[in-house]
Amino acid sequence: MAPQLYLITPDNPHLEQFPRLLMSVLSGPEVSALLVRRGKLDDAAYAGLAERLVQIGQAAGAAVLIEDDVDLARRLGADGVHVTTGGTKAISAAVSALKPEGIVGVGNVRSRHDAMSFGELDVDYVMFGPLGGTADPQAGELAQWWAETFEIPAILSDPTAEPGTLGATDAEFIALSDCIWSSPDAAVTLTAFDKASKAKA
Amino acid sequence: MKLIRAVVCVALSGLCLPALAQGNAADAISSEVFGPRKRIDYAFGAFQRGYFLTALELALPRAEKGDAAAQTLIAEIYARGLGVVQSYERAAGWYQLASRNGDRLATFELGMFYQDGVGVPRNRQRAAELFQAAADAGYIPAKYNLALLHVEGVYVEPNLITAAALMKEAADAELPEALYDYGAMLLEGAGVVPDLAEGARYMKLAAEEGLVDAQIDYATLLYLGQGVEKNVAEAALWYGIAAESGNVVAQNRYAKLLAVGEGTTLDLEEAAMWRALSRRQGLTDPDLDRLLVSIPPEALARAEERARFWPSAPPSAVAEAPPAAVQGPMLPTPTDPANAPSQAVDPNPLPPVTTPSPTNPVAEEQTEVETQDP
Repeated sequence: MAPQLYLITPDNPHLEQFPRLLMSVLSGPEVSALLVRRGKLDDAAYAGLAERLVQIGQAAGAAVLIEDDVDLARRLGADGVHVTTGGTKAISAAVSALKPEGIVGVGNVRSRHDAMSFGELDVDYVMFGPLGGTADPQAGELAQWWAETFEIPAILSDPTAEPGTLGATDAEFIALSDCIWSSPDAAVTLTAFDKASKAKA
Repeated sequence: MKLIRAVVCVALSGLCLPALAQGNAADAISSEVFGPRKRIDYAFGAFQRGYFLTALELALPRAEKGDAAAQTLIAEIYARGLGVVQSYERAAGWYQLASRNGDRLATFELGMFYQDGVGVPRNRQRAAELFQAAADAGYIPAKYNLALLHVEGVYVEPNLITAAALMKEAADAELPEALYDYGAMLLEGAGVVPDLAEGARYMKLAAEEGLVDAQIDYATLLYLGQGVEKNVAEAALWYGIAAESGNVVAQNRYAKLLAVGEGTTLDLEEAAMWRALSRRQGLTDPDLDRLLVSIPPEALARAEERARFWPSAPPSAVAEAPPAAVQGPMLPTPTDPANAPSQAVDPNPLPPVTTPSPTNPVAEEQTEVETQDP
């Protein structure tokens, strides 16, 4: 089965222009989920950005996830959270607060032991690899291992991916971030990724 | 041929690591005398001594770096829930990693997980591939399971000859189930030239390993004198051993031998006890009933009583208190439904409750006064 697309917003988006760019990108291939990345934004700025992107993402049929902040996700009517800090405690808290209606995913997996500890907490996916920046050389192998063995979906995040060199993976989702936003035409790049992932399957 | 279910083996062999060079003089002499030492696996050492959480702590950093032995060790700890909450999913994850790093035990155990659908979705094809890999690496239980798969012939090529060759390897490594199955293959000539004597020899080895099915089959061979010299006394002995482990077929046959005194001293009470036990498991045998027709009723009663408490002895009669005699009026013996009492009669009716009647207020007042009295 071809992996589905999971889109991560850029580290430091232009607050005025980005919503329009996102709208054009989401009008392309089907994106399963959209993660609104916090980056270096303060709480107020992040809340403001997230509020706009939740509407845009949901209108395009994607599940919109907030980074870490369960209360913000609830207040904005987002589809769930992506937990990167706080370890198992934060994940358990998010699961009991949001499930079963909302989505709880985990990232920032530093070891196999981490992955399994998080995976046991009734989460909806486990993400391997960073949200942006330089790629993690081990992420691909970890995601492959996870997808082979566990039933919880794996997301492989490779910020430096290219449509041409998209490796074969059993992960259920591939997460795309900087590789989309740094390209001259984000919508075209995303379409290229979509085609490449379907061709590999 | 009766094939035994795939064997789960949790031997932690192969966790030791290659030798290292030593530093000081004492070590040098030691290695001169005893040969190169194996590097100490502290995690495995802790595991062997039952310090499972220490073992886990020591193994985790190594496992994260891709040490197959440590990964297998962690998988074992989670698979058996030693000091941690048992988690087959985690165990499967670690077995998967160790298997990729070339640990044959992990490959085998992961195969078992896929075979049974434990911790991972059941996938017999995947299991077959993993058993093949572990068998190629020389792991004996994997050879046994692979042999069974070749007999089954669904997930690997159906081939009795390959199966028999693998089974022989496993049997010669003294895996009890393999001894039994290879013995059965020799007796029936499945994938090998039939050889009753050799088959009986393997059957005996399996019986000595404590496999109940093998004990019964070997007893039968002894009784019939197939592949071995006929020896009814020894047959009775093996049937007795298998009967003691609760096998219904063995109980029935042992009872028959006891009832006619063949290969053992005649003991009708003992025979009746085994008959009662085999009946309890649903086996009734008219032949055995005929043999026991002449049993005295008191011996039969004793036998039934012993069967009731088997494998313990029945408690002595002294311990049993006789039921308390019922005091009360004699009940008429019901002769027909019309005559039967329509409701249960209490033999010890409580005395009628004396409710304070309103016509006697004096009594009430008196009791109240009494309670207030200091």
